[in-house]
Amino acid sequence: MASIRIFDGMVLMIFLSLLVGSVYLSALNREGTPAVEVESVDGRYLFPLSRDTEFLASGPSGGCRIRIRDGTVFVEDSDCREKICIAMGPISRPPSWIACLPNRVVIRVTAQEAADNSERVDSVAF
Amino acid sequence: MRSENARREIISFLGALCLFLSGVEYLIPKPFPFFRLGLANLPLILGLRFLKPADLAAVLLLKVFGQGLVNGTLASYVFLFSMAGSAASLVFMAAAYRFGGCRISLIGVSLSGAMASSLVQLFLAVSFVFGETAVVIAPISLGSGMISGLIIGVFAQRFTASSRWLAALEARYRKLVG
Repeated sequence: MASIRIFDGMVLMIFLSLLVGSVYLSALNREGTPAVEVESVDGRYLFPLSRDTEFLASGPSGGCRIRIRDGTVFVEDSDCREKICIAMGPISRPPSWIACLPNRVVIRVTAQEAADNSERVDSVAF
Repeated sequence: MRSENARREIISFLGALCLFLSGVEYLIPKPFPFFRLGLANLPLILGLRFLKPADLAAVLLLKVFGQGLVNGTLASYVFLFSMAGSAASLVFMAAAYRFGGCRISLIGVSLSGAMASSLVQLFLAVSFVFGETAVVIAPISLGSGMISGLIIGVFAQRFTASSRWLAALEARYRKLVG
């Protein structure tokens, strides 16, 4: 392999550390019970991952039909061109996500803290 | 005047190469939906070594508009992402190439471009389109950027070292610019 030079390594190291940092950041909240967060142009919705349900999120391309079934969430149908959101398949473990860019819909499986302990303590204390 | 036309010819040829390569990119299977190899960046990286900044910027514009046409995103906000990412990546690559001198190869140059592009697009996604939820895509965006930057960089380095076509193009351009 042709000449790898010192700055190549440095750039790679910077890149790697950014990558590791971002993985660490996005993995911070793994604890708690998983819930489904749907963000669309209409607003933000929260569903428990444990209860099967269907949800229509509207968006600029028409919208997505999101289904929660057997502890997983996936996009069942979407009025977008490339159907990447459907191809992303079911997700179940936090932190994971599905996005439909044309519809501006983001679906996330997040870990919800049991009872917002940190906030509660403060509001009582003051 | 003739040399001016010949120079434009080289620029538009490189721009056309970008357009062609963004078409070729569709042939390559994607391991996952958001992974893009960025083949269309090749002419820019190759041109970095000898094109003047203004000509390089012209190739960049041709690339971005060409890609917008091929991908059908010219009239959507995705186009702004593409434009911002490409511009940032070119600025970073030019800076890396300039200041790195002999201590950097096209691999590092390509990597720094990929890094700039990923970061800028991530920043745009967070601040304009998706809000903070977009942070969850950071690992994938950076990871795929790193892999594709590496692949393109290695290819560019080897290609530059051995291509007689590129050497001839470079010589022709240098003669025109004087």
